[in-house]
Amino acid sequence: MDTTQLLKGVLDAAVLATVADADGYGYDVVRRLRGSGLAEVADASVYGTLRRLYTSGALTSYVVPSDEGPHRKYYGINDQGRTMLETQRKEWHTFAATVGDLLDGAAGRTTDHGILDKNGAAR
Amino acid sequence: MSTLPATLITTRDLVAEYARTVRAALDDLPADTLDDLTDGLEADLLDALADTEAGPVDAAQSLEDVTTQFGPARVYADELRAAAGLAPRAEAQGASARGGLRTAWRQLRTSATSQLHRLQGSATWGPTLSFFVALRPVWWVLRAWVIVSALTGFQGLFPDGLPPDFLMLGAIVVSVQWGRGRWRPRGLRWAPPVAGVLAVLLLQPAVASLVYPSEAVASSAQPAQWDAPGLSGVYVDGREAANLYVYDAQGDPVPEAQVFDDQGSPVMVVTPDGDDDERPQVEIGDDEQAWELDPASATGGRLLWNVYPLHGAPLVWDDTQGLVRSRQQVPPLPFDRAPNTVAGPVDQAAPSNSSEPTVDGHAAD
Repeated sequence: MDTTQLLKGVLDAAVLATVADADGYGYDVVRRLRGSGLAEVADASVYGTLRRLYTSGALTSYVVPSDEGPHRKYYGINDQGRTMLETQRKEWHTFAATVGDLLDGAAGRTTDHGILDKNGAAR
Repeated sequence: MSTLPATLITTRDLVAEYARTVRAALDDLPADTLDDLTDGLEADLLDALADTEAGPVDAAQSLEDVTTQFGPARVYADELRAAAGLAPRAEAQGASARGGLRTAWRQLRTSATSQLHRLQGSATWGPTLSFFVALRPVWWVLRAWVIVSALTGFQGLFPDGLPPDFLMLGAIVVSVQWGRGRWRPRGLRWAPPVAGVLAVLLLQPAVASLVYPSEAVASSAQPAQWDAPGLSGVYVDGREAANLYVYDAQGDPVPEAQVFDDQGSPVMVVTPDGDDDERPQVEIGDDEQAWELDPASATGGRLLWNVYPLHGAPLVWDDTQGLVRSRQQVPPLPFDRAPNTVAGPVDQAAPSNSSEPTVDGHAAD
């Protein structure tokens, strides 16, 4: 299964959750997402998502100058972002449960058929 | 330790170049959106390189390596744009001439950039181009210097005086920041490229004036002594004489004396230029009155500049016309009569028994 396609749907929630955990700059958020197991997350997608969440008012942003290199733009979550995260969390759980039930049920039916076929063939 | 910073700067330059290409692919966006979207991009790219197994220095030896790491800049930009929820780039939308031009320019730039990247990846060109890429900061400083020296018209390496100094330093800082992709003026995005083209055009004259400063001076002011064979002038006691006055042996002024040197060349106190209507201006007397000097006319009509005293006309101020010539006249004589009369030449062989001194530097007043 193409997990990058799945990721697209939940990237907002994942990014919001990561920033809710602690403020972070672009690559820092990428690193933490990968550390959480989302290894295939693309840098640019995360940066774009951060910007979009910021524009929609879910995140705050501030620039931190760096002594040894280019400055960093940090993002932090605000109340609107927390509300959004809470909504998305609920939606995800509902969705995951539904898809989980659906897939588990389908898996059971596939197995039953297999058994029936097997049994039929065995007979 | 000395090689480490140099290598880091190279990686940083490569990252900056990659970031520049990403920004170029997004340059259809409003400036503030573009800034918002790509602010801190260099830091993020450097961090991502640092996280690779090879580390930042080995991971990015060339732009090709950076592209391998992050994918083509164009794809990266598209991803950034899509994730930010922005509409895809509208290609060739411009029905207007301006839109068409912009699209053509963008395509030209994109193809040039990709050509450059391909060259940088090749074995022969890679090091050569990297060399020039490394030289880019020199150009950032140079373009500021060229433009400021052209604007202020100073000559030499650095201007004199505090305001031009600050202007020069300020221009260099701005130029370097532009080069690093910072401080780009919003709404004036044409300014950095225009400054670049201007600097290229002005580079040659600016450097020429630095190497041959006298040439530029000679074209505007009077010719310098060493390269002007036609130079004339009579110096007395270190001061340039404005006119000559000839007195005869009895001490009476000679009205129109022609003066030549030992080679028969006319002795001239001024250097007339080729234009017969152009009159040299001098200052005469203790009040430094300005005069225009006029030549005498030979019987054939030629102008003679060695007939003394030269006639002339004082220049007077007129409230409506500025400086104007008044009536032609002989400039005031230093003496109505010479302070001495002449007894005769001194013969070195015969003892001089003259009781009167024949040469006296002072006027008997």
